[in-house]
Amino acid sequence: MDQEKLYELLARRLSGEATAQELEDLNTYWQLHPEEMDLKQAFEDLWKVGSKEVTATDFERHRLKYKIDFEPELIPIRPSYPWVWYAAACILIISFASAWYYSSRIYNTSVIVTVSAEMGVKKRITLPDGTTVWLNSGTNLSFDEKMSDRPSREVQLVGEAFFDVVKDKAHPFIIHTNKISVKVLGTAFNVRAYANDQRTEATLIRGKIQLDVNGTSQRFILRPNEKFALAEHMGGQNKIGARRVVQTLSLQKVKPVEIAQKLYTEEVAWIENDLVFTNEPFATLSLRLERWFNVKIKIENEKVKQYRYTGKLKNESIEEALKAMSSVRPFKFKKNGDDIIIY
Amino acid sequence: MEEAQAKYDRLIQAIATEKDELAYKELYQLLYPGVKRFAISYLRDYEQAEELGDDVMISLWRNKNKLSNIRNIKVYVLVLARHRCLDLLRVKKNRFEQLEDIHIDLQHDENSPENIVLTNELKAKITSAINSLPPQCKLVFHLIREEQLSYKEAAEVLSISVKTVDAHLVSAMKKIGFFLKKEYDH
Repeated sequence: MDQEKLYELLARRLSGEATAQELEDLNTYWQLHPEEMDLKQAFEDLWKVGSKEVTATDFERHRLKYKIDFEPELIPIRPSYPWVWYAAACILIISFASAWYYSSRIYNTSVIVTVSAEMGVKKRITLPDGTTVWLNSGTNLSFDEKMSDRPSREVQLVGEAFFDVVKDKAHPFIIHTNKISVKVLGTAFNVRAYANDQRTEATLIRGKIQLDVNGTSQRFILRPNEKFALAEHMGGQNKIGARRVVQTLSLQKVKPVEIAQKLYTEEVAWIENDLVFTNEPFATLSLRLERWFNVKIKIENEKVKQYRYTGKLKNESIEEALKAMSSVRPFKFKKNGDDIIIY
Repeated sequence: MEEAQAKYDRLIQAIATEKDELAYKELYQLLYPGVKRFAISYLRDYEQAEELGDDVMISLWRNKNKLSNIRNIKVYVLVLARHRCLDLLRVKKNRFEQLEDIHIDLQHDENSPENIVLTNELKAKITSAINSLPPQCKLVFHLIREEQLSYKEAAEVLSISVKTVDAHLVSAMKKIGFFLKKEYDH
């Protein structure tokens, strides 16, 4: 075997490309030339590449660098360390019929007033104690006409409202919703607690609020620019085979989003008549559009439900809004009265 | 080999259909080091190679739904890396002689007691011997030894024929053999 051939076979052997015949030829060659065994060994050593180190930090760096390409992360709340949050509080409220029962029992001598902002309408009201409340579309707020004379000022909320509470340390302001209750001393914050949302949110702008999750002993105090969220989803089956509702609590910093060179805080922009959404899936955004425009939206295309949008709507009509959205990511829609089908 | 391919197929499937971030992480950890090493051979600039490696990898994530069309992901990322390296070098030098500067590093398991006859000194000599070879020859050697590609895969990455890969590898082996023999003959 000449040198050329020897190296050819050796290279093939080392890279796993040699045929059975070629391997046999090589072995025969080495049996005849034991003096070349050192060379064979040296090449074999050379081919030991060694363990290739993969550092875990490489991926972390990579993920951080392209953060926008990955799903946003929620910061989990650790209810076992509630004092961590004792600097401030944020509140979110959902209420159902039980809230009515609760309030009528406490204030059986008082007149309960309910103010509603219908679908497609936003309202600003002033409560008897001077507190200003902005009601977003499809929201009911109930309160006692004589709330200022009571030991505490209490209201019930179904929907979304922004509260600018008049300071009165002697009379705490309490908002009851279906899932949580918020106790306030004097502050400005937003609560989103619609009956048909799986998510309840409270965003604190300034001041301090104390938030209790109804039916549990979990209590949180929020700092300014923090957002509390309670999400519900169906968990696994329990021992008797019934599925139970699992609540996920989270606390996030509120970050203003820049759209067309202007900064918006999504959670409170609606007060200025701006509907702002940040990386929001169409599936949940459609619920907000329904309330904002007083329409019914049905998305028949599963893929479209997953689309995520960031943007701002102000005076646009629903048609203009959908047209703009479909130019970003393609979908078709038809409108029949207040019913919209997206496909 | 087939086992490795099955693993890649499984990861790609998870990324394409479920946007599985953990699967992407695994794929990243399998492919990124090789892409970076390959880019270093061309660019000889660690940071630039890292940047390029990240770029190549994120393009996989961004094009998740097209991933299943890729036949051999390992070859695919190296081809992407090669094209980007050549583009970068073209911009850098505005000429076509960029391949002159290819430099490869031989990685060794420093702690391996199995290295019976190769001393570190000898390894250094071999590295410089390999680096005196023509650029394509170096790249073939790197892809086959370092990245453990098959002849066919290496040929695909460099867009040359399998025969040429074979020939380049023989040149590299001859050169190394020449050094080794000199070492043992005295």
